[in-house]
Amino acid sequence: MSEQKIEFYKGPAGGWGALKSVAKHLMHEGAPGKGARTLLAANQPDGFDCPGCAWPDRSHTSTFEFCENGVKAVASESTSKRATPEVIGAQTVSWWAEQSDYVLEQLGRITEPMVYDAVTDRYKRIAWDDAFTLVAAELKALPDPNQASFYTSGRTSNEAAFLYQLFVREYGTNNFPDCSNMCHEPSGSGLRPTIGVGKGTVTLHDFEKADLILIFGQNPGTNHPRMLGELRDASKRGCKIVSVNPLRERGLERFADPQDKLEMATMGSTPISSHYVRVRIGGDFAFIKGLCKLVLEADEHARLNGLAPIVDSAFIAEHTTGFDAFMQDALDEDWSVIETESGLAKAEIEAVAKQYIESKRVIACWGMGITQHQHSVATIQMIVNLLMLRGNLGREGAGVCPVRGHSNVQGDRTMGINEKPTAAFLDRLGKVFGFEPPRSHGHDTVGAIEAMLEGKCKVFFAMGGNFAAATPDTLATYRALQSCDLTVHVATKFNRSHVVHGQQALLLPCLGRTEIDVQAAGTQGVTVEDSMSMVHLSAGLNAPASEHLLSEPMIVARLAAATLPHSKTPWLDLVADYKLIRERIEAVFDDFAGFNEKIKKPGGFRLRNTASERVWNTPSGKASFTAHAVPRDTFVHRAKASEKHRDTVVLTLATVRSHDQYNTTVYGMDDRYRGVYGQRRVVFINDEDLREIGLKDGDWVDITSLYADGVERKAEKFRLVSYDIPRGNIASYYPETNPLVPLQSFAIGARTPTSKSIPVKLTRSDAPAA
Amino acid sequence: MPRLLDDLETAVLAKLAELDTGDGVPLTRLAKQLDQRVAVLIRTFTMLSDARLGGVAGPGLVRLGEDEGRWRAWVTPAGRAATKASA
Repeated sequence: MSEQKIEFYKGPAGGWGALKSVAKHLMHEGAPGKGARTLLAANQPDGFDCPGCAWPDRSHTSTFEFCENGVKAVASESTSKRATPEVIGAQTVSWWAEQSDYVLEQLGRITEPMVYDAVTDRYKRIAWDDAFTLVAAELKALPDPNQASFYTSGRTSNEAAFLYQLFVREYGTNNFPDCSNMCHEPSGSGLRPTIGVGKGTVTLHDFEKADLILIFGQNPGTNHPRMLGELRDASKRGCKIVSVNPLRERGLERFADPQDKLEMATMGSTPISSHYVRVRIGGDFAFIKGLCKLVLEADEHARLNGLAPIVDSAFIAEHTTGFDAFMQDALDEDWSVIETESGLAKAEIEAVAKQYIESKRVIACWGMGITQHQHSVATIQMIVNLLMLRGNLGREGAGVCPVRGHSNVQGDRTMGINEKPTAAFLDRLGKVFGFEPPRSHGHDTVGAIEAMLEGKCKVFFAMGGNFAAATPDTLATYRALQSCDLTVHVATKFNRSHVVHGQQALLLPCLGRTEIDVQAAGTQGVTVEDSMSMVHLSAGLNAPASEHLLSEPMIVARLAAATLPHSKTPWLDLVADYKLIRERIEAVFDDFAGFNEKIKKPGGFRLRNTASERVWNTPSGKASFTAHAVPRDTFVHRAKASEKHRDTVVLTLATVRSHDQYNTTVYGMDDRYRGVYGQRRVVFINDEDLREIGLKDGDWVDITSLYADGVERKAEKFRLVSYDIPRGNIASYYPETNPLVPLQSFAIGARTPTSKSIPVKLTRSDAPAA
Repeated sequence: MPRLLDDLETAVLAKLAELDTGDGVPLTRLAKQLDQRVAVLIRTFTMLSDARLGGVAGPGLVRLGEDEGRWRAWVTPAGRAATKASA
């Protein structure tokens, strides 16, 4: 672990710093040879899909198609460390619960199934058959299948996800909380009613053609480093890139491609953003609406003066509805509201509007900085409004690009991991498999936690992930999990969710993405769908970390066979050869016609995206403009109003990842690009805010969130770090700050926790004991 | 009973036996000679090694390792014997 220090990082994103970090992580995992060898096959046609992010693969012409954070994920999976029953059983679970996420991660790969022994408070070895019997008995004993919830991590393959949702629905419930509920749910909820597709419309080809790329609330340098390759190429050919982000992030400023010999030899780099807009946290909506207003005003001016129109009237007339109402609403918006709520001066918004108007092909990207707010659905719809004003949808070089997190989070939804399935999907599923699927909607993530707290959910099964660390309101979530009769986790590594467990608990270890999966018919590959709807094959190449590991499809099949003895589905036959699973997927989803053939092509195939063809699967048959008022009654606004008489300085906290972190997995203790080393309990804060609250860089504080539900939520012992962030805004890492977000604070229309806009106050604290 | 090698495995093993004079052969060289991607070679060598896959120990015909920062494959005595037998 690095020495604790705060030291400004001068280098570009990527470059030698990334290579040094790659070597360090491979060495640290004890896998310098195997890990590096494995990387040669990452995101290659005959290799495996990186278990990290969902950014698409290029045309596979490069030997190296991975990034620094992909290396961390691969090194973590290829580690030589083993979390055997002896290693985990050497300590009580209560003792493990006191350890950090980093310490748990460092135990290495879980090698055998384990069961919690309440008498000794330790995990111990259990045979696979006994584990499946135990879960099946608990599930069958429940008086109502809706008393079980089945979580899915975004790493789960299409084949595993399809079998999993089938098993759960044959069992009798639609309780499918998933990681999408906590990240891009608002993207689907915002896009589906407006353009008829809940996914992005662009491909990498569009990135090669765009004149302008707008990046909202996203930090690709840490979260999607391979995206920097596309941005670098775009920048080099003169495409404008506007980054809209409260924090100054190195990956949005400069990037040195480790594969560019000249850049590396000369210590050079490529500028990424042509314009960096320092919007305040949660101010994106007002900013985008301001852009729309300026575009409409410019169009009005152009038409009055006989100039070329700015707005694409032909597109709007042929393809959209709701334009007049939207236009009036946008033109009526008050500039003082836009400036106050965005935190930007009108002149700054005008500068971006000018770039937008001058660009013929525009892509808008966004990440969690857009989705994890109360009004995220409306914000995404405002992005669509902005693009549609100039016809920037469904044509080359233009469109929407929600940048997904985990490698198959989009594919899992495609496969039916959805607590609100459509009737058409259920009809088809029931017809193909000969059963009547449950029709009532199930629990999402927030709903599952609430159900557990209310005693309405007694069995929690997780296909991967780290539910306890990913979810908001940590203490409530812990109580929820601990109230279950049984918690089961399919996992590769030991994590927080395994030490916050139900009365009974099981750990079921599975193969990793990099490992060879041998079934009765021979070696198997699985498929994944990336952020741009490309579906392709992924096949491992290393020997499994243990001979006792099962593949995720096999775990589902054996559990289903044990739980559903009268099922018509030939569970164990299907997993003998995953081609048979893909045939069933093809039978349920028309878009997968010829599935087994199509994936033989390197790079796979793209699922049909109707919006990218200007075919609108909406009730009106057209894309919709949507009018929304600038939000002025968020939890932050309310906290400021209620604390005014106390003179409390209310700050808006955004939770962020560190650079050595992927989702909840903490690979290391550094956040290189932000200059933080060897520690995680830090708060990034503006200098003037420090002065106002009478504190200084290096002081320690406790963070208390300010909600009106009467519950005190506090996260203790954070070191203040002076940082380039707008006044009134602070940032800190999750999961450490997850306890500050109440379960009931979520996005309207999507129920995604509002982890990017938490009203808080800071109080002086002592430095933690050494 | 040892499993039968498929065509690719047979070809890869034969080429490795031909090129390996005791110091192993770099994977990149083998990839070029066999016109195969490195990912395919790594998977094939893992299948031909003694690693346990699907609960069954591998045939132990090759060994994968690192030498001076380069990834190499070695043919084992069992691998050489298998090549001779199939020749």
